[in-house]
Amino acid sequence: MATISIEHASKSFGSTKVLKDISLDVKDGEFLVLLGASGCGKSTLLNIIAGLEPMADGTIRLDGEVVNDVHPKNRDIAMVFQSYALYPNMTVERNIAFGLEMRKISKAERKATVREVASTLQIEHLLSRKPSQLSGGQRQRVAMGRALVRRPKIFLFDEPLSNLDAKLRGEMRTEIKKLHQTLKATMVYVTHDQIEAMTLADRIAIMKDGEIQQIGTPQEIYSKPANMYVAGFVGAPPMNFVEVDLVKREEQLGAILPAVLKGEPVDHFLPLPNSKHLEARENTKVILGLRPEIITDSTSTHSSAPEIECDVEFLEPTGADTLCIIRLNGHPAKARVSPLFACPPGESMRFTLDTHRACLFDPTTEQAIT
Amino acid sequence: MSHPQQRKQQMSVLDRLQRYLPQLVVAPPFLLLVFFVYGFIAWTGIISLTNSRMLPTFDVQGIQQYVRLLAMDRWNVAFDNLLIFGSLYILFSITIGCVLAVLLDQRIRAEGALRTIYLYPMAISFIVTGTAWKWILNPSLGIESYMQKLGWESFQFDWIVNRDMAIYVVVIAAVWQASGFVMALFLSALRTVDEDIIRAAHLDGASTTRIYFGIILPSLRPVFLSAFVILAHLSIKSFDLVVALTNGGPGYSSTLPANFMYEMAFRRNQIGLGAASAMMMLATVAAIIVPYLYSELRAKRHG
Amino acid sequence: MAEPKTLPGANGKRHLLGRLFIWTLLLAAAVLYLGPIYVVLSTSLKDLAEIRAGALLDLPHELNFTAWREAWSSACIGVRCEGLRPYFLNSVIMSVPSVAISTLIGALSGYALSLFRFRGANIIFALMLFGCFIPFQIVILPMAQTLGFLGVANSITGLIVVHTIYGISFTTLFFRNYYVSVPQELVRAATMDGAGFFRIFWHIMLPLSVPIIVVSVIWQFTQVWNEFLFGASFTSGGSQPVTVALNNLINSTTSVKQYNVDMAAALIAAAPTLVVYIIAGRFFVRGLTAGAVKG
Ligand SMILES: Nc1ncnc2c1ncn2[C@@H]1O[C@H](COP(=O)(O)OP(=O)(O)OP(=O)(O)O)[C@@H](O)[C@H]1O
Ligand SMILES: [Mg+2]
Repeated sequence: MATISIEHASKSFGSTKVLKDISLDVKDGEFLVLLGASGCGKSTLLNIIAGLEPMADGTIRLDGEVVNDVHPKNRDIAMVFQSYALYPNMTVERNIAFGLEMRKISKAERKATVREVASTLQIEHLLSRKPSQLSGGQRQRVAMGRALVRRPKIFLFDEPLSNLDAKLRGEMRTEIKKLHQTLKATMVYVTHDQIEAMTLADRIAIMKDGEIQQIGTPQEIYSKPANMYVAGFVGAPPMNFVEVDLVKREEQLGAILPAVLKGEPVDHFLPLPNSKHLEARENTKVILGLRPEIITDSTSTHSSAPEIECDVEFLEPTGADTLCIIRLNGHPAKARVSPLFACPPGESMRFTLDTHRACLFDPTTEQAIT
Repeated sequence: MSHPQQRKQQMSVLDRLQRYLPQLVVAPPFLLLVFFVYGFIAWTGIISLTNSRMLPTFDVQGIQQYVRLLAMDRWNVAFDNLLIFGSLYILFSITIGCVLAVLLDQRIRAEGALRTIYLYPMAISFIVTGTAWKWILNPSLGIESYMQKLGWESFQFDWIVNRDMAIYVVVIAAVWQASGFVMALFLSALRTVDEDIIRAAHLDGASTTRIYFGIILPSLRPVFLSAFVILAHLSIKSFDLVVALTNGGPGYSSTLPANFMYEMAFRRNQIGLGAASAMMMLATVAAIIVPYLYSELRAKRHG
Repeated sequence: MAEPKTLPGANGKRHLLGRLFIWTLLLAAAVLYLGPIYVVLSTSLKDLAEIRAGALLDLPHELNFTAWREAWSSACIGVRCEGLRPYFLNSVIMSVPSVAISTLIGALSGYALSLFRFRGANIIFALMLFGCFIPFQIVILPMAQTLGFLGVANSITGLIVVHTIYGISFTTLFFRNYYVSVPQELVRAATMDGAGFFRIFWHIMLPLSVPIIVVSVIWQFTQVWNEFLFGASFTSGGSQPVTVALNNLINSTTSVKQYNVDMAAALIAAAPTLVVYIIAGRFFVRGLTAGAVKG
């Protein structure tokens, strides 16, 4: 059992508020990812969980027990740091064993445990080296080994893969995932890489300026973002935002989507399904959020969805798909189409819009309209 | 892992202490320095306001020691000497050090050996330096008589026994000792100059001389500044060199404020006066150091 | 840096002249720097008759070490005729503990001030730093009284106390500036591993600190060994350090001037710091520049 529960945590450095009234629950065995832009307070939150930073306000519980005043070493938590923080003067073996040494575990037992961890991570041949003689990926493994060796009930990771190249990052991601499945330990993982977040997380917490914007499964975060920040932060290329008028035509509430066809402005009417909750907003402006894959070539989806026709300004082929840049309400927007059907720039093309998956946001509060 | 009961207990005593260990460790040296630096400055300040003679008293009278001090010829000579000594010492040390650094920066094969030679005087005490130069410059058996014996009958170099020139002898010895240090400062700064800038300037057709005067030396302004501050600070503290070289003489023509202070405090039972002169020295140092530190720290904060 | 020589089309002859000019200046300077130590050394090896003959710059006729022996063990300083040896030992006894203690204290406080940035750490550091800048004349009068009060006036112990205290400013500066560049995550990782303040210091920081320890030790040793003001102010007679004894020897007016003994004594007094400089010059320079670029 290892749950983490944070209530109303806040923290300032000098006059800058770094964490503002954060509440968060992590379930036993869960893999929670803290995702957010640089400087939003992710590391600070992680350090608070670890006990490395004192909190200004709030309580933190591990397994229901308040640990605000418990020293980090007594929290049974291990942490992997962004810079790995390997002890430069010690061999890999001693680096891994140091935590056990400090806990007065006998030498023989230490040795055996280190061997075991090293073989899991496939770094046995490195045990007698110093950190300076290791490659980035090897250092990363040693840092993981240092955390694993103590068999803690909670693991904290602070951007552990951000110093690796893309290929290695992919490999390590898989290994961390495997590790989580075998250990079944509770893990909190900080990153600003959304792919990492989506692939690893049971749940993701999106942070901005010291506040949690949304917590949910990767799928929830992706398809039902709580606000425009989350919607724009997750997904690549990001969601298209178009300001539209909500109007009723033939008893059907829909959005007026201004586009460009053969150089001329044209308004498409886009009927919105399940629009009861929008009745009150008739004749007001809302922000329509359309992920690129929602706007796609007419040929590849079912025909019940509404279609629009507009000019393609240019193309960005990505391999699997091609992105068509079109103009919606004066701003460029991206549509994801099959390379087979992409029109050359300058010509016009028919797109299907899967309005069931469209998001709507309030233009002033930027919150999702539900 | 550990028993929850035991865990709580450990926290309350040991870990709370752990949390304040950094402060606890810094506190003793900090308090020592507060007492022995700031406390002593205040203490000396108080003595300077008394009539202390043989022994310090704490019977504050006012500023008459300072009035006496400023009226004393001996003090005024010492202070004028400080101005002469300080400005020449700084000027020559920086010029020579800078020239040597630039010359050494020209891919000299024996750079290591030469650097060692230029810098060794800095490892020697002022007393030894003074002893050596005193011997070299003594008129009866030193360089003067040697030159005359070589046949240069009119050669004269008797500054060390010349009232008007003795302070310049102190300058010579001091520059000999410190210029290598300035060289080291500049050389290490020159090594950090971005080579691409120099390559680019070469491509623009600038000569090596032009590159140094136009680009590199101006970019070393902070080094000039810190060299200036260090040398100024050293010159105000200068004491031992004068003691060993001229002992302030002939008469008191080559005394510096530091020698004045020592003389009053330890030889003439004028402790109040000595304290006043020490305060004047501190003020002089502060006038140079405080603006420097202030600008340094401010630059750091913004940088 | 990029040398014109390596660039195609540079004027070979002009370049050669330039090199000649540079070398002339550098060698002339080297002669000027080495001159004094040559004169001192050669004088110390001559006998008095040879010195009186006035050939200052000439090599000694023969190597004569009597002056060295006399300077070391029988020259009269004040009323004692035991040479520099007892004072040299005083200096050793004085410098070893004060260097060791002030380096240790500086390492600990530098470590605490840089890697545990508690509230006020920077102000405390700035206040401690000021001790590097004061002219020591400002502290000698109160210090004389305080040493008397502590019962260590006119003793080597007293000098050890003084040098240790005023060394702390410098050593703290060295270590603090060194540890500032150590990543804070290292301390955090060790904290998670269960190491406390002192164990992190002992197991992780000290092994990393060898270069700065060398710098600090060399700097402190040079300072303490060469120091004169404190020695002259707080000690007399048998407890004086070697610099003060040397000065007394040189400036004694009682007997016939034995220049060769004076010079040998000067070299003996200078020898320890010179030796340190020659074997560890690199660290010495680092100490100078680190001490120079304060803050
Ligand atoms: N010791 C400190 N003193 C002052 N401000 C700090 C300190 N540590 C962090 N901050 C500030 O707190 C904010 C949050 O820092 P934090 O390290 O938690 O961000 P982060 O989300 O982890 O960013 P990154 O992705 O770049 O690691 C930043 O604006 C940072 O400048
Ligand atoms: Mg971070």
